[in-house]
Amino acid sequence: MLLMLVGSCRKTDEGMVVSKIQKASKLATAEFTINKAVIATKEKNLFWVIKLNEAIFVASTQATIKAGINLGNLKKNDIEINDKSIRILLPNVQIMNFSYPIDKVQIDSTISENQFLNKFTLKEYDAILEQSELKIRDAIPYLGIEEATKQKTRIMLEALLKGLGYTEIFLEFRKGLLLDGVIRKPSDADSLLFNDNPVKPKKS
Amino acid sequence: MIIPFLIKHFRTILDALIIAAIMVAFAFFDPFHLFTSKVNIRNTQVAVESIRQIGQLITAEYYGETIASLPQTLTDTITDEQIINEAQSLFNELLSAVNNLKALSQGKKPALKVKEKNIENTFLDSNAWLARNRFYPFIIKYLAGYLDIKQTKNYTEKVLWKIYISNSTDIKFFPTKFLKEISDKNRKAYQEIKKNIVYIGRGWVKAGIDFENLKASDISYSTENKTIYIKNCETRILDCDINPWFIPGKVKGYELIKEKGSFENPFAEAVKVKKRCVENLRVQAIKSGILEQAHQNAKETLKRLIQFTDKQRDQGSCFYNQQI
Repeated sequence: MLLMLVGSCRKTDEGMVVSKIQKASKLATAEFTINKAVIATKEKNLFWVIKLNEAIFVASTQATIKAGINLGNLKKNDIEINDKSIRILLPNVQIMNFSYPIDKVQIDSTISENQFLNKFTLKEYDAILEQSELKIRDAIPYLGIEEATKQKTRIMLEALLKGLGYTEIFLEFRKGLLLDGVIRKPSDADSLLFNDNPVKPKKS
Repeated sequence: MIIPFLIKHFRTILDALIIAAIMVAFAFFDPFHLFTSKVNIRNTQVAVESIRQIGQLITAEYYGETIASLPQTLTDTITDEQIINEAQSLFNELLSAVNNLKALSQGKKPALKVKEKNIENTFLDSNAWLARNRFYPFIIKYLAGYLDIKQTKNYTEKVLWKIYISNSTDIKFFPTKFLKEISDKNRKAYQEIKKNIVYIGRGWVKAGIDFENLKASDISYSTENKTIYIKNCETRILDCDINPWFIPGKVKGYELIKEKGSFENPFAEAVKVKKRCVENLRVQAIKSGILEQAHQNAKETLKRLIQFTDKQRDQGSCFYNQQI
């Protein structure tokens, strides 16, 4: 009886979240729309070897990423003002918001198909989307987000500072993309994409 | 030709059908986990569709947890016709059971015969399934009214005894009269929650100012009281998101709590519940005062930014954010 009672108790996997409002001063200057196709298959096997049938799930998904700078990290020492000239060392470009909404998941009903005694369960659908989100997050440092955000931030701040009367504006950014608290250096792909002196192909 | 063949090999065909049914049942229930299934997710490309310039100042963030279920938990409404059919069927079975009791009691010794005092127990001994019917109490009430028996403490006993001693063909079932015994409260009690999906959602709500509609003419400065006026930038909810992960790899954003019943398209139903989670989170954040906090923080942030970048307005300037 005691063994049954002990055996029947199990720890739940749910994490507890306490709700909270926190202050922020984040300036988002660029919004990226990212597409990802999700393809998942579910094989039904007999004795782990003999394949009986295969169900397939295909959907197009979309994520929206907002990037910018955290004005809370801007200090007085980062700003130099000389009459009509201003020089600012801006903080690292940071991901402000990552959105992977469920209503942007469009299932391709012409390809997606369940089979006899082999259907995707709700937990499996959730696991597929969880994997998909992790893949998108892994690809963020290689999508050129840092450089594109720097360009958009420059445009916005230059317009603001010109409005305040400055004629010479120098904006510099701290290097690297701040992602989940870690600074990620730009990849080779990024630096090739946004190089001011692109390498021209040699004529044979 | 086919029929003689079928007759000749009937036993073999029957055995084959039984074996096929057992295999399908094994495949469906899989008690020994012989049929394994594995989900494989293919690597696909991540592509940037568009890059857009925006100007949003996020000044307050709320994170929290919410719960939602299917908006219309599918229920069966019980109609009058269903009540009448079921009650009529029970009524006939009850009279038949009492007649059987009468027939069995004849020829027995006096001590073993059915009497008024023991009729209810004797009846329930052999007809307990009738008493478990949801309409049984109402049939007894109806019969009490029909047979002119007062609804006192042991009136069930009296009703059964009256049926036992009288001719059952004289006792009629009138549907409209019976329906009066069923109140609205009882009708609702018979509705069953057949299908439901329940999710917990954990996410973020971000509020602040959107400078999208802001123009140069919306910003003005008063030299008299050293105040900057900015209009067309009211505080609003900028983002409200529940993603598959709340903390990537650690805490899930959506967690399935309950799934009851089968659905033709379970994914579509789950999407409805998840959207409801997002709306509940938004309402929760607003009730927590995110907009007020965002408004207050926006004033401080903009003031600090202007003070950093404009030396002339550094000392003694105050900032006022005007809403339209």
